[in-house]
Amino acid sequence: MNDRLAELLPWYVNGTLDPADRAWVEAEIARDPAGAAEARWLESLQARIRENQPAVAANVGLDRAMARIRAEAASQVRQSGRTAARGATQPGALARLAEWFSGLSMRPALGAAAAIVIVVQAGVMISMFRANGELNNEIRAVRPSIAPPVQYLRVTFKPDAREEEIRLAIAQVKGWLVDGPGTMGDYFLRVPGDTRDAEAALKHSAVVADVARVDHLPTRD
Amino acid sequence: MDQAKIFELLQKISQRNEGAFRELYQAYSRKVYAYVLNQVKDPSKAEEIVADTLYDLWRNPLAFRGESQFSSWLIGIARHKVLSAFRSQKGDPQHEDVDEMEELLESEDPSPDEELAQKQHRDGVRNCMDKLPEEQRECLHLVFYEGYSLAEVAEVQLCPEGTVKTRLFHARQKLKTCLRLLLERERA
Repeated sequence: MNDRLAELLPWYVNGTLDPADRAWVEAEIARDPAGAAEARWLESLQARIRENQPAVAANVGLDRAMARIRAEAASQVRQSGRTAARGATQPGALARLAEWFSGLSMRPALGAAAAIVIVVQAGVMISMFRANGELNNEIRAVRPSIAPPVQYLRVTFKPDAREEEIRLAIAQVKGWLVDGPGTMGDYFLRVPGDTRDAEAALKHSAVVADVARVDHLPTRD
Repeated sequence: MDQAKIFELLQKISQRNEGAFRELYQAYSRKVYAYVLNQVKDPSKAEEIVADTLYDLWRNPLAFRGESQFSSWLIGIARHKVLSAFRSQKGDPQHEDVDEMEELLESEDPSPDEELAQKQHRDGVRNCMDKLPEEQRECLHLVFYEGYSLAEVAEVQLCPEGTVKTRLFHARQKLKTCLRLLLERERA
């Protein structure tokens, strides 16, 4: 039996040879008894291998797969429920300010009062500027003094850090939030005094994943 | 199942249609199970891998683009999971039989293929296939059970066609020797 015949026989037996090769193999086994015996052995082998395969129901493992699908669906429903609930109870700016102050160990009523004071002050300032348009023009005309560059701290908290822990970490460096959290989870803080001291302190915080000094706040589109 | 019907079902699955998933599952699960069981030899593990393979289909039905037979694409996913399962096992028992196979090769008997074709039986073929290295056993399954072409086997096994030919050549030689030895023992 020649090498080419030996190589093509399995594909002849399983029916995947193209017509030209098939015709060639048939001609070869017609004149080569060893090739014909090998072909018959392979045909028998194929029959035995096919007999060997397990008689198994078409739904083998289906319950298991469906259980995973149901679990996935339930998880998605829970997740979307949480998102909807968050959206429904999203506090307004005033409520967030009140929450911030109450988080700093103030009683809720005091927190709300402090927030209202800030909002009222902001309103008074805006009305004063509107009432003194000329003064504002003068203020705008004054050449600004050259202030030293402001440095911020970009802080990334660990994913499992709780809100109270984040607030505490910021309070410990006497900082205040000027931006964030952004899409990458970064918070931007201002701190009094040297930012390097605050940076070092935050680096040792158990809830801080990363902290760096930056000169600019992120730009917004 | 023809390719158009498969695509129709896959489209429905992408819209989270469980009925379409069940239909496709039941059409192909036995084929995937036969392949996986041939490799892992453990019915419970095989069932788990089949479910896992078809769950992947549920999660990403449009990953199939019709560049190959749907069954060979599915078997390719199952193969990846089988290999992962093998990697997580310590000491694959199949490898222990390779040395034994080498000893069998040394005692080759020149019995004619014709006799082998007449007398080889199902259990003998299964026992001898179990002694082959994984890639060779897989190759025999893909050629003679699935009926895949040379190109399709190479695609599933992620190797050149020449490697498939070599694997098949060695698998045939070892299988033939093993089956002859079994016949000798039965005669004795």
